[in-house]
Amino acid sequence: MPLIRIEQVSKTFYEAKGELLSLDNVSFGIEDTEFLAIIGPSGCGKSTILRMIAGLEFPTKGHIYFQDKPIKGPIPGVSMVFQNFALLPWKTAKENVLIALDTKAMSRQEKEETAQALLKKLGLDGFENNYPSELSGGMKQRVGIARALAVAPDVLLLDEPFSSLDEVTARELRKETLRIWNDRTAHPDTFVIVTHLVEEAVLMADRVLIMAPRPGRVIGEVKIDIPRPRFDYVRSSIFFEHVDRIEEILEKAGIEDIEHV
Amino acid sequence: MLGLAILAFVALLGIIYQKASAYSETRLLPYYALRTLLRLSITYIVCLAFGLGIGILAATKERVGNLLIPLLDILQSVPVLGFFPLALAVIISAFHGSILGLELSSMFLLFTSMEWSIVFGVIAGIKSMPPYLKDMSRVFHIEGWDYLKHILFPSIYPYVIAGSILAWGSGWYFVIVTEFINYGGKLYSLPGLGYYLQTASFKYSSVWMSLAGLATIGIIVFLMNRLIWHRLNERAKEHRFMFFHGFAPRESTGQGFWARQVNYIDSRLDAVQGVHLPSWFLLRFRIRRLNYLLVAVGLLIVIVGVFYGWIRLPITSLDLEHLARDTGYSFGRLAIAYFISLALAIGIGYLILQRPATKNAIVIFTDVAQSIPALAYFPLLWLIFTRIFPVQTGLEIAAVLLMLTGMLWYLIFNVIEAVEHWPKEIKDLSGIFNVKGARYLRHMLIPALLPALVTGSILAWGGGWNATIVSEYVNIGNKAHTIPGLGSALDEASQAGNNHQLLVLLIVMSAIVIVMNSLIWRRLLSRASTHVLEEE
Repeated sequence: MPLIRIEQVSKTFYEAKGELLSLDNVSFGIEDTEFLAIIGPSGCGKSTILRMIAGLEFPTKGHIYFQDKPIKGPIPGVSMVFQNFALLPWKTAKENVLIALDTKAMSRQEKEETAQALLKKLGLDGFENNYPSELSGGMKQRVGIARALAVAPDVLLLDEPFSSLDEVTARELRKETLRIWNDRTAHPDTFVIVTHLVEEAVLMADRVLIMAPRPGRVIGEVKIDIPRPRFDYVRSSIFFEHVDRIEEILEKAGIEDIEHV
Repeated sequence: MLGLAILAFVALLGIIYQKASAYSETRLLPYYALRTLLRLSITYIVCLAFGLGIGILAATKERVGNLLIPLLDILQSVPVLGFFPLALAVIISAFHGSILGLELSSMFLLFTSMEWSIVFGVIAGIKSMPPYLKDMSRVFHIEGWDYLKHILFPSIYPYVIAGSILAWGSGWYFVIVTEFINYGGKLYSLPGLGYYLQTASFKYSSVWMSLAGLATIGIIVFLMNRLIWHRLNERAKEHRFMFFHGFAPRESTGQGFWARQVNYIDSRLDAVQGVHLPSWFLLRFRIRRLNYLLVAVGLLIVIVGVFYGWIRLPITSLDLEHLARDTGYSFGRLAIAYFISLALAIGIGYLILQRPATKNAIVIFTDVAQSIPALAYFPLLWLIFTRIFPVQTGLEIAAVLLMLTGMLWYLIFNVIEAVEHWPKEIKDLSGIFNVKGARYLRHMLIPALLPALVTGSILAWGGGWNATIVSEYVNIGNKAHTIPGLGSALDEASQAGNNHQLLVLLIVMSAIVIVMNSLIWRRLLSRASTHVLEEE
């Protein structure tokens, strides 16, 4: 039984201009310890799905289950990394991590230690007391990841987490993210990433779900059978075969340029 | 050079206070200042508490907000000074004319002038919080008091500071008239700087005493801006979300005394205009007209119901001819003051664009001039103009000038702000295609300034109507000098204790403001929103 089940989910947004069918009858499952990527052009509803798993939004029709229980709101087992980092500019790096631990039943000391350890793990040693405005984009997202890990979730949701970073920084953070996923001694083990970069999906995921817009729906699924660590294969033909398979599915649906639709 | 200027200034102050000390009231000046400051501070704290409560409610509960925002908007656009005699009537009679009743009615008036910019600041602040912040709070289960303390309050902090700066500005403006009141043939006074200033002009006709009062207000306002608002404002900068439009820190204009002044004033302009006004107006714009109509009608029914049902006012016949004439006179004066203000503001915009070197001087001058509340120098204006001209002419000129000072700053500050963000491309464009003179004004400057001019105009007319009430009527000893208008009609009605007429005049004045807002400014605002220039 999958850890998370999305069953016949539809979502309609009501706007001034009329109704907008954002998701049309979407079903899929996410297995425990799986790294799933959801890919598609803007407007295909991939972020909406992610927000539903986070308990931030609810289906108009259909159901979403986490460990067989319907999701009725944000749950401690699911954590999230945001596209725009969502850091509080008035709090230091450490305070930004601590705020996720506020409601946890831990002593002040334990919280401090957890935050400190996570920042160290993400390579932010010595920057604990810096404000976000004093950190680079990559470091900001490292704080964002540390905060998401602080609640020790089962599932980590990543909403286009590297799209506001430059390519070199993004590459470092992809590596970092894979290292965290690989570490089976610590939670979380199940990752869901939303992206519009085919190469990013092939590099990171076990399985790629491909979506199309108007209305948002799943148009295909590609299993990535490339041994890990994948960085050793990024220039090999097996990597490009996978990329091509995804591109084919997108082209068949009439999506020429995934980034500019 | 600078040292010399400061020395000369201190010497001048010395002379003013020396000359003013001939009057016994001058010895009490520190006490008066303290009383006025206390009155303002208490009212401000009440405003802040109320603004946070109501603002959070209006911004977070959509249904409540759809009615609450039009209600607040109508209340804030109504000329508050007109409420004063009515508030007095109710509160003074409730407290049997005791000093506590007077203090409370003075604070009530101050509240009605200070509250709006705070409550709208809170609402605008919450509405412009980045949406992912709410998501983040929910994902990490930051709720209740934790949410207010860690997320909401820090997010709206810059808006609350900007609103507070505006609130204190209008507080200083109105506190002058709330301390010296003539109602129902009785004279009520509260110790304070306003009382001191009015005594100076109308009892002793002393220019020196007036100057001493003005200098005291100027010094207090300057020190408060420097010691409190400037610091809070600097801190507010850290709270802004970096990628938010227009929040990039300005480049420092350089070192040295004058450069620092300009930097300081720039940061105040940023706070007040950059953060506050645009979001405030966009916010109101989003609410449907029907809601406004519903709320306005509801409010009218409540007010009329209270006065005719509960207080049992007699219903007397209305002198429509007088009403129309008074409205025409006041409107005419305001129109003159408005067009002078408009011309000055556009002229200043033109000057800064053509000669950027003049900007510093203009910004410093306007900031200093604006920080002395206009009502404070009305008695002085009156003293001067009635000495030069025949009384009636002097009154007319003084009235238009006072209305001008009630309108001018809103337009000028908005224009300066717009010119600061003037895109370079537009400048290059006019150079390349040689657009000059009238064509430049008509096709480039005025259309580009339209958003700023409309925003400024709405505030300017609100300020102008308030000014009519204090500028068309002067009471010296037992002799009243008036020029015909809605403002003086209101004053006469309150002198005579004629609550029925007061109520009618108040409704007429409010109706004019509301009708102008919806017929003229709302339309221009929607057109102006397509004129907003993007700065890349």
